[in-house]
Amino acid sequence: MISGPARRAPRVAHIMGTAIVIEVRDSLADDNAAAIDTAIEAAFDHLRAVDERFSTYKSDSEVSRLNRGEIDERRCSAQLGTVLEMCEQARVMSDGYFDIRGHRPDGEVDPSGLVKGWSVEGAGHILDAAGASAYTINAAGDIFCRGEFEPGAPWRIGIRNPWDPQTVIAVVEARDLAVATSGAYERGDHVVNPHSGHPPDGIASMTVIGPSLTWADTWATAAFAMGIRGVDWVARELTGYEACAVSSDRHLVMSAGFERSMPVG
Amino acid sequence: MPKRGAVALVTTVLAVVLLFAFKPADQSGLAADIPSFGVLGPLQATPGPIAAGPQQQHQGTSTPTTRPAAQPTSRTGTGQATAQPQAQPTPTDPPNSSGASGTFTGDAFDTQYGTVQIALQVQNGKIVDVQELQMPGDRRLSAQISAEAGPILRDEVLRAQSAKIDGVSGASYTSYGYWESLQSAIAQVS
Repeated sequence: MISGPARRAPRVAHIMGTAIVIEVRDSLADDNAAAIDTAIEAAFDHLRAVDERFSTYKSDSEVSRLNRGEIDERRCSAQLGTVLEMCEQARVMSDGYFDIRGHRPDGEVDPSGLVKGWSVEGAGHILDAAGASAYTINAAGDIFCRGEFEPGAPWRIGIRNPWDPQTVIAVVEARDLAVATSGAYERGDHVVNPHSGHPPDGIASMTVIGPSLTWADTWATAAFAMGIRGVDWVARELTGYEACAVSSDRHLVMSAGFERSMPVG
Repeated sequence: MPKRGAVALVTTVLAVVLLFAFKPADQSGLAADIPSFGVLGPLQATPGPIAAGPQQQHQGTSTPTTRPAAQPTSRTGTGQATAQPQAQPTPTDPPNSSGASGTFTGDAFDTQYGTVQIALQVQNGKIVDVQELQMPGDRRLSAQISAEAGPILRDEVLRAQSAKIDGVSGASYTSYGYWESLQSAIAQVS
């Protein structure tokens, strides 16, 4: 057991078709403890609201109405407009490898490759505003880490073994760091290369780390679509971001900065 | 060996069911307390440098810039993988202790990947198995990938397992339809 001040148990809610876990390490003895409790619920509410607006599974979501042509991009909510703008920026910066119209066979708009990370980061800002200084928000493997697990001890985030959900293939030490992984396992070929229309060859998963979960999530999708060379693309083109891929033939390929984030020994 | 994929799903389901069981009185039925997983083992004092780089925010309008190339390094694992899934569909407390027995079939849900439908096997109020009645074709691909698991990254796996972990990053593992179908089956047990 870890001694010290009383802390909250992690909280979990099922939103966006997946489990979201918020673990706040700030002491319950702090003056702002009640405000943080309120903020945790507000963070979940924020994620639910984003899901209502952006889910491609909900027929009454704004994205679904956009796909049915009931609204167009010039007459949509400011929130959707912002997301579409960021998605377009990502498409240009990734040379078309992140394309919200290119990842699905039916060609419908699906911004979920950016929205999940963006919404979780937004939830983090709600916790920040309440004064939380050490927490993680884990949205089915896309993780936003604030501060440290304990003073002097960073959060330790495992990267899942694509062939075995019970094991991890690497550990990242995280302080104020976002970790996002895109893969071809479990959900099948979730991401296709928009240029070829087919899943990328030779890659089982792509993990991107960096300061923003919005962009780590987005770049993980783009870099996965590129294949193994996406590791080099992230490290070369994206300041502050590093990548690690697992190849189909079971090798780890990582950027130098990613390797530096791994524990020594 | 298609079973491995199924085991992974069962693990997810049992975890989800456990979450229900922890706080069944919760108003929404969706949020519950779970025990901390930050106390699994001794902390390693290895304050290595973090790769986050400058703590700049990439908020919509920023543009990543080019910097000198960083050469990826390749690590290769050899030998036989020894880490095996530990998950078995062990009996688990259901959302309530109704003592029900039998098969509870969830509703079928259409997703972009295909139709999803699951069934719960319940004995004396305990969930003893979860079956996939309908699952999109990509699940077979997933099973195929699982079957190819071999001498992957043994050293990395073993090294990574050796210390406590606060979270695991990986591709989404609970599809929307799977959850919805599961919920409808649980509702019948309750």
